[in-house]
Amino acid sequence: MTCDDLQNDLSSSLDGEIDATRARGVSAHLAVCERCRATRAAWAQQSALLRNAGRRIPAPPTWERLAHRIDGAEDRARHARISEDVGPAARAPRPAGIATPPARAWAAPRLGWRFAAGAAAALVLLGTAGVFLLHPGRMIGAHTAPDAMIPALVRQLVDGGVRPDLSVLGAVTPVSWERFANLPHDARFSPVAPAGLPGGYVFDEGWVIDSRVCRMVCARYKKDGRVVAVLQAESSNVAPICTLANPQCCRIAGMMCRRSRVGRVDVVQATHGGLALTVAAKTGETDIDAVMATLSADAHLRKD
Amino acid sequence: MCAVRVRVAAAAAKGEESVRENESPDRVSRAIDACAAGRLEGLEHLYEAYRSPVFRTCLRLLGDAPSAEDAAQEVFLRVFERIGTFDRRAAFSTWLYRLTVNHCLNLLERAQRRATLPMEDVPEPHDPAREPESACLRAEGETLLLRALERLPTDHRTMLVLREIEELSYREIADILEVPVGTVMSRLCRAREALRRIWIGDPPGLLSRKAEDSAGATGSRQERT
Repeated sequence: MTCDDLQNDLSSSLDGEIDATRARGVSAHLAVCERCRATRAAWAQQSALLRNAGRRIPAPPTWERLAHRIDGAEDRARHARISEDVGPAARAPRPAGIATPPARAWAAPRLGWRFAAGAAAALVLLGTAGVFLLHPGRMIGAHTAPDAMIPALVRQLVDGGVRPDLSVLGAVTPVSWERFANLPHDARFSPVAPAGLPGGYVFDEGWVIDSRVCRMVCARYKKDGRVVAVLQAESSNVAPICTLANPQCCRIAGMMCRRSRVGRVDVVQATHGGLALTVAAKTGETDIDAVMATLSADAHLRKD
Repeated sequence: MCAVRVRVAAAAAKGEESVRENESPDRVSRAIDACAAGRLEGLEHLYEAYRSPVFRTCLRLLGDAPSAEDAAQEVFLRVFERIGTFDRRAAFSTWLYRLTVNHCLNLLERAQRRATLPMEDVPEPHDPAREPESACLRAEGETLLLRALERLPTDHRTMLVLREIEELSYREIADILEVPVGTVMSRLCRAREALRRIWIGDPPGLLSRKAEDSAGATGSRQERT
């Protein structure tokens, strides 16, 4: 038996996946072939290291995150059905980057309230801002129907398992905490504490969004590994119109200091001086008042 | 010492997973029934029982945690969607691994069209004289080995992930990949040698020399044709 003929058996013998006859052949060959002994030893060492290294992994995503994603899929399926009911004119094209829902109809009745909560929170959270940015000339009222993309966008922001596709709002630049905390002096939004907020909220991801009319900053915070807060603010006075940071716009939009609780989601929108912010959090998982109080404290806000 | 603890922990983790599956086949079966009936609690049970191996497989095939998290969730969404097609002739875990591997391979195929590995990511050749003598060196070796794994062709990487990391038998791997056991045997052998070449930076071994000879012969034939 030559070395070439032996290679498969040499590999299989490492795994114990070889019958006794062939195993004897391998042993006999190894007794006289130094090169094959070295190859086998290298494979064995490599296997042991790979097993050790490969099995060390970070914590897998929790069930809650998958359940959240299923909620989103159900919402999208329902929204599609609603759009079809209303007619072709009401259907908006699906924006790029938003996941296609699975083919299955997500119709578990017990999830119904989550759809209502998500849709309402979405309307409050980003409906106004998103549509304002996309259609700056339009006046947005509380009764304006949300664009099809807005709820999905909000869910992406609040769902820690999904990287949100903010490109529908403009050019997006992800920013690290270091860059986020050291935005230029014209930034009106100053993060409060290094990499975190009181209560254990830790900076997760941040983005600078340059829309057609303004620059926005959006940041996501986590607590115990889960997204609990999304803050949004203007970061530049390049074009201080049609942003949440413009009190006039907020007033027109009926957004001044607005708070609502829908299902498990608490949503607060407020303006404070030049700062406007939106906080979304799940009830019971965070003290939203503490976040608001901290963010509203003059000592922590840098104003123009 | 540290490495020993790690090995023990890894063994314990695998043992726990196996026990969970082996001790409660009825629960798994009931969870599958519930899942097939569209009840989320069925999926939740399956998720809790199998999320670690699925996530680990995704992570080692895809190479980065965020993509692996997305992929693992997508796999379980597909479980919920397609559980009706699971005919129970094979073990549920085999079917689940097949969904996982296929999903990851699809993702890799798409990604392959978009990106190539930059040169600076190529691991430094491992110096055989510097055998891991401490936990630190061992960790460095493992890191390089994982990076080398990521550089393998996907079919080789898949074989090594399923055998070396998931510790599946040749029969299980054959069922997952829907290939004969003999194919598993030969692919695994080639994958081991390919990984060794990248990791250690050694001159071609027997197999690779043979492969090169074969490629040369093929090239010659092509030139002649």
